Amino acid sequence: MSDTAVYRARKVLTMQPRRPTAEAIAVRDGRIVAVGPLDEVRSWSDGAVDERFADKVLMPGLVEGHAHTLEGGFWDYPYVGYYDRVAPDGTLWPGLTSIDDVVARLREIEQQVTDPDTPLFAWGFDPILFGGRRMTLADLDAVSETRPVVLLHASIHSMNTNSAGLSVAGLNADSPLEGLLRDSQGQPTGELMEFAAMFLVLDAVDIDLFALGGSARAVWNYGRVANIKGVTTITDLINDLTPATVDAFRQVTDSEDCPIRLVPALNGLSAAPERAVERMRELQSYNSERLRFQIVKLMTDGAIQGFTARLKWPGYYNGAPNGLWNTTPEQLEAAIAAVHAAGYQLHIHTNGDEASELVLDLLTKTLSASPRPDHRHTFQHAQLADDAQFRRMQALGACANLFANHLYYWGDIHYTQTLGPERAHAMNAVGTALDHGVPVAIHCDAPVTPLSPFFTAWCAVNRRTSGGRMLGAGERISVAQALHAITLGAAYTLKLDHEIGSLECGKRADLAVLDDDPEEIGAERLCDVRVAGTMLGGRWFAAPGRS
Amino acid sequence: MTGVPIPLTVVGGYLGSGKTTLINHLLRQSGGRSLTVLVNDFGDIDIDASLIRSVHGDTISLANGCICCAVGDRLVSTLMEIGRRSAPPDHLVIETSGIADPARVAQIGMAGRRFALHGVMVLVDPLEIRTRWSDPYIGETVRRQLASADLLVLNKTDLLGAGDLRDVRTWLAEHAPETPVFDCVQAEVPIDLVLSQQDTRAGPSEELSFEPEQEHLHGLDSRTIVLPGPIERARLRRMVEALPDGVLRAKGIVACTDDPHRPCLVDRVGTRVTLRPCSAEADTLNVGRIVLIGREDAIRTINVDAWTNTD
Repeated sequence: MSDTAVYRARKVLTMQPRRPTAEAIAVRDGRIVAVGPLDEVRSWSDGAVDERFADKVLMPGLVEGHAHTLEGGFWDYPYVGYYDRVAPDGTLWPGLTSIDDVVARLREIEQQVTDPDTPLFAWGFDPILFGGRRMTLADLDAVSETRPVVLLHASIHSMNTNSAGLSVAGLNADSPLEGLLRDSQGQPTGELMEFAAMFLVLDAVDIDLFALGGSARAVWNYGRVANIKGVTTITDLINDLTPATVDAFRQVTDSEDCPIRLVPALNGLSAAPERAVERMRELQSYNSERLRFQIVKLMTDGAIQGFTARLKWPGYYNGAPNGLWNTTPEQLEAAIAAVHAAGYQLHIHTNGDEASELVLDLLTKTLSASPRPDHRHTFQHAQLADDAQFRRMQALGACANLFANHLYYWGDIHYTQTLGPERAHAMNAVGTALDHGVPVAIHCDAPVTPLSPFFTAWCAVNRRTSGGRMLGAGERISVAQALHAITLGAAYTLKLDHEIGSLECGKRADLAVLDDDPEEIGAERLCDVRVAGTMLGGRWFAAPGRS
Repeated sequence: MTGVPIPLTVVGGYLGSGKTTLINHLLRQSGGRSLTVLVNDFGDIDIDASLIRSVHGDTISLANGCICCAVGDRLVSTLMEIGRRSAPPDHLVIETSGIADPARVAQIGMAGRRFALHGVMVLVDPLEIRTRWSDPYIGETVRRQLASADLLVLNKTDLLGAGDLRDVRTWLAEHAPETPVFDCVQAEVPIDLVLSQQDTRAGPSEELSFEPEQEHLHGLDSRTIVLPGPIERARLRRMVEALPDGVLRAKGIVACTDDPHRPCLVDRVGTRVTLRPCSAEADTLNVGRIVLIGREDAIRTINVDAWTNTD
């Protein structure tokens, strides 16, 4: 009976609907041995009741079903986004709401870099949020005239640079490059769009953007950011999973000090389907308590705010041409069939409704040919899925992980530019999905938006844009439904609901330890729930920045 | 960042149009050049085992270069690595995915210092192209692919009867009127149409000739223009651009009036014309010669006098 710790709490939210709350929880060997009234729970231990959480609310460790380790990699560089963001060390980086503020922050940082040749790289900048004013070469030349400055946009598909950055890449007004944006006089503005233009500058300053998420350091930082926000299980939802990356993931998650369980998803289109399946078999031999390989991710289309998502009729509100596919329907079909046949779980990125439609068709075909119980193939984003599409998902046994944060961060853009009012109101239809019995999770897609499941829950509950507009009041869900979506709901989409996501005997002792009660704080303030730290497998991790 | 940019050929075309077959063909007869080839998948790459030196992760090293599997985000790392090699390849070939717009990748060779775009070849499957062109899901993609080509390669022509082949040619002439088309079977494109000329490593006679048996095989002809002396750079570009569409390839070493001691390499692949400086060790024997390769009818109509006229 030794080594059983009994924690008394202000309240325990179990997320087990028939026994929703409790007074105490007992932990043994990293697992929950009892949850319930204190007098029942303490019968498991001869020792004293641990009172450290007596004034805290305990709930299952939060589960983020769609994010990327790149978030951890980015924190080696300064953040200059519009919205507040918390660094892995717990420091708050306040949002910069004017271009002048961004320039001023970059100047401060620039003055601290002593080597004159080191490029200055910063991230998180969103060029569309400054009321029509765009960042220019002159703005960034004011940061430095000699040192290349590279300012990556929040979308990760575009960036700004200064004259020194263009120069080191060999770019000028004569460069016949489509992605090099120009002003009315034909001069480069320093804004670079898409692969080629970005590559030329990143190559010249020697920053391999997409490798940033593959280091042990990145995963440690990722774990800290998760810890701060109460997250104990988190995905890395597309990765080529090279041997070096897998080594880094194993090194971190093998450590007792690692505060997260990591669920990476193999990029299923990084090789022919049969080789991807072969690679999954190999990866599964590395599965451990804190590292789990069983998901294959497939990409279909792009992003709505980048006009690269594939939309059905009537297309983009502003008349932009339809978006881009990442793969041919034939290759997608082959990959779906192979991964399904091998018994792995598919998580498929579909932003536009045409992409969702195609995947519904292909899944129907595959599942008709080879039915498999409880496959839980999951639509990721499915931002424009409508009633009929959710009915089909339900009929197929598929899950949906919806991008609730989009409502806040890009809702106004969707309303005015990309989709127009009606489809903006209908997007990320969590309410409809639940009505139709589709298992639902909600996500942040960090680093695209900041990681914070309580904020994501707030988005699904309130559906407010950053400009204050409500989008689709009828799609709002209750606080209880939102809390389910960020715990057991997300765990279900990862096929980990038998291990995590609720507090029950036998499950892992993964807890979010809260100062505030999310059931009591009120729907309007759900995003303000304060996180003291987490427990992973019974081990306490104070949130960095908190004593 | 120093050194001469690496010539880049981008090979595009929808899934199943013959990109990998073309790559295999190139690897078999790279003509003494060292090639680096980026592919989507090793699966269908067919290399003579005797040419393979080593296989390491995503890279197969060959006696005449290497093949790297570089999909998606890994393309960035791979390109960065290639640009930093102490012994860069003579030519880089990137096979794009079946859904990609080859023009997007090709842009890396249109500016900057590492790569110089040599040409975008897009393969066309004559049996499928018309259906795909109007497919609701992928029609736009296929249209973008065709539009991005400097040279269209109409592959698998043996699978069609003469009448059907004529129909496809007519259709292509209507839907891609500006772009030269090369017909072939098994993606057997003459190496000279795809790869850049070299100014140092290969011998002059070998380099500036065109294999006679290939002429007959493909209904191609060639002709050499000998310039009497240095030519004005803008005029050179204008004249190469003005060559008829049936000229699929032009290549030569030419002295320009503004810098006659540093000749430049002139290339035309399909409709794309590039002029770039020769390396210091350029073979001066061939300066002033431009070889044209193209369909017999087009080659016959070339007015050599227009080139040799110094007015």
